[in-house]
Amino acid sequence: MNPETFRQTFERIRTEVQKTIVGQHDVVEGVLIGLAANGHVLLEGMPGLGKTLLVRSLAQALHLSYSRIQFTPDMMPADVTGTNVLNQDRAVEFRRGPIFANIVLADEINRATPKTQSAMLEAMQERGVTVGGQRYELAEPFLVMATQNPVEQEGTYPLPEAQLDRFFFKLIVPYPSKADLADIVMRTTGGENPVAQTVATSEEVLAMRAVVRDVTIAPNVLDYALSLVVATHPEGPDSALFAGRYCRYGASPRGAQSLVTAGKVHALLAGRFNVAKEDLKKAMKPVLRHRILLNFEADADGVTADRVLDEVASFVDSRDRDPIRA
Amino acid sequence: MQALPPLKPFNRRVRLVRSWRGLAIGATVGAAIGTGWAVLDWFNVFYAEPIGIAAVIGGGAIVGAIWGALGKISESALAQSIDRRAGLEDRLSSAQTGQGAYQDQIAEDAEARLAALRPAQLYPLRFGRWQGGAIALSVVAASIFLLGNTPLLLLEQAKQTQAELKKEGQKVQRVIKENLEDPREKQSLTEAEKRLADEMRRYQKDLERARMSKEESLQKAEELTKKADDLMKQNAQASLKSLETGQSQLEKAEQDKLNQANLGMVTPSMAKMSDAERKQALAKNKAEQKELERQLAEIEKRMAEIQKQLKNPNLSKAERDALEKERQALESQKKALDKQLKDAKDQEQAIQLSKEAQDIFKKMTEDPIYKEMQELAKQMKQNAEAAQAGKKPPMTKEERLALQKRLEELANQLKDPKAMQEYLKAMLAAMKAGGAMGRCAGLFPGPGRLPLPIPWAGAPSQDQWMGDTGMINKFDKGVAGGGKTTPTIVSGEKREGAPDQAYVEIKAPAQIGNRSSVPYIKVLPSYRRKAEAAMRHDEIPKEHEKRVKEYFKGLGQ
Repeated sequence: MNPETFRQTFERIRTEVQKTIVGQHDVVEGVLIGLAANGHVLLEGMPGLGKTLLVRSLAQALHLSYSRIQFTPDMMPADVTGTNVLNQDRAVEFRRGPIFANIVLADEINRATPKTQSAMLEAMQERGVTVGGQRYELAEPFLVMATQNPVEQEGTYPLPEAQLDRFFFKLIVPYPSKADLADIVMRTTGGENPVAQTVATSEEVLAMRAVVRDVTIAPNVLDYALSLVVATHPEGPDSALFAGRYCRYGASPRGAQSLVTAGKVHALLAGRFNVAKEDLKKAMKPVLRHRILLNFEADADGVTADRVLDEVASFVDSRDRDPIRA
Repeated sequence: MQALPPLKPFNRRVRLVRSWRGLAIGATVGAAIGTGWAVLDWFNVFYAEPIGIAAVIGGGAIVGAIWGALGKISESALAQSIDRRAGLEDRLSSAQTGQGAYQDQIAEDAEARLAALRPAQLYPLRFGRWQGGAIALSVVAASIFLLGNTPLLLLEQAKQTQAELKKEGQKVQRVIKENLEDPREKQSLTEAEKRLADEMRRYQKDLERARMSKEESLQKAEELTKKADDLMKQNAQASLKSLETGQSQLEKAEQDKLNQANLGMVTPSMAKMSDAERKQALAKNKAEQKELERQLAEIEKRMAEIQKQLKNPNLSKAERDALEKERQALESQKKALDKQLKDAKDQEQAIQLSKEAQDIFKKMTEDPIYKEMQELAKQMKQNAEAAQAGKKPPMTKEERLALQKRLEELANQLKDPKAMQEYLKAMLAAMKAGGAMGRCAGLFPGPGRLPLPIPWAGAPSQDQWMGDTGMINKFDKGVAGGGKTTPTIVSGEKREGAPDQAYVEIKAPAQIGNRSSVPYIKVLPSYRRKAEAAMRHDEIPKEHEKRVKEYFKGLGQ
């Protein structure tokens, strides 16, 4: 696969998914970028915004298996990973859990206990499950889309920072606009019920991932990416003033990796073979918004992570001057 | 692999634009310095010339332009800059990495984008803040300079004053040029003369710029005149001393000559006597001898009598002691007379031998070099004596330089006796001191003595500079019944309604008008006494007492 084919494939999948999902273009693009970048996506939004439909449509478009796990506090790790059971032949048989799918929707992951969350996230990171001393590899491509409900925090177990860091993107799923809502209502209450058709294969997805890795990043662009990350560190010498005031912790090295990878995907989508600073800026919020931990003052002042990131970007831009003063 | 896109045209353009910016920065810095200079000029601290200020600004601009054009431009920085300015989304800088699977495509892409760009588009020659700053500061510098030097803003009287001061400044410049900047004399300037020359130049500039009042110019002229006068006297003294040394060296040389001819007892003055003088000297000598012999005879006679009286046994002790005392006194007198007689006889012999010495000495004195040197020494002595007496040396600069040259020639010709060489050395030293004296005399010969470069500095004229200050009470004409002097009232009491500064102190030369011929030194004591009495009676405010004392002290020196 070459970059041009990458773009075409990406657009094909997007078009197909958008047949079923009305609006939510950024979310769809974000999910597809996560898929191409081999990263998992955390979706945050109110219930009923089409998250399950998105997963199902994506799986259909790629002809991949998918599963949905609705997390509850009483869910055990084995409910996710699977467990050994005795079959009719009195033999121990491993019964695969819902994690064994190409695309997994981990719905309301923050309702699971930390123990179950940990099992889930470990599987996400390791791309495999170990049960009874036996390791079971997960299918490739493997994409987890976890959702969190920003309201109804009672009885939830918010994901710790270390676990959040394992998500490539955190996407905010907004309410649809009035026009989009009208379209949704018309589609779902009428006779027509569009279904996504298969437009790409799992092999193509894997090939897309290989292409992403080959995209070039110039030293100055890499420096810009690192500056963005470093500027989120509240006590660093190169930290942005805003970050210093409102951040408790900044982004991790994994954040820098994700930022560059996402930038590469954006570059390919823009028809380029190199990462530009603009690509990094586009990728910055979904990559870093869950990786910075805000302090009490930010909560008190109503400052969001996105606001901090906007300020960080402005700060880095202000220091990124034309090297030739003429 | 695809070659990297060529950036040379952009490099050249960047150099041009940098040069333009550097020029503006340099000009701004230069203009800032120029402004500072103009301010210093305004306050008379360091005079500026228009060409100087322009040179500073221009120099700064040139240095800045060169610095901008020659500055290092790295390829990566240039690529990043083009990326940024042309919105190439980091294509060029990525192409420069030379790495990655899609390097060829990146380079091709970058080149295609670059081909559509013109360097002048990306790097235009802008008129920015530096350029604006350079022009603004240049205007400020020029304005300050022009405002400080233009007569347009002055009143008519002030303009006239400025014009006069400038005119006098030009005169002073001529004086400096003639006396202190003559290439023939420049190297022989002494330290004191150099210092004086510097002060003169400064004064000349002050005058040319008309940055001083008339009072200040008079004060300064007087000060410099005094310094020049002192220097002239010092040099005259040094010249005379050197001439004295030279004279003693000459006498030594003459004596050496006589010694060589075994006529050591003959002095050069004897050798120079004519026959008549010799005869007269011999007669005088004889008479002296005769008188000495007579005195000796009398003393011997008296001593014989004393000897006889001492043999008398009837003498009392007191009488004996008195006789003994007298005998001793006579003995010492006799000894002295014997010596005088001997000397007289020796002198007689020397006078007799001087005839012989005369021939030897004649050869030496008739030597043209010797004669010329004597003549030169005479001229130099006259010159130095005149200077020491406070008069202008009669020798002109041209004459002095010619004399110096001739002395140097003579020194070269005169290889022979060492003493004569020493004489010439002393003559040359005297000449040099005389030269310095002449130069100083040419600067400010002193008030009232000679026509000066500054007419109001004491020349006996009707010019009323001293009275035209507008700050002191001065009557241009004699007050009826008030005598012929020109009184200048300095009251110790402030008049009612008078401004804060009722008078200014002027340490300028006293003007010699045609209405008084009484030397001030004669009237000074009475005025001083009056002033002292006024101070005693508290008629002069305490804070001015010191000033009054200094004034009279200064006049008395």
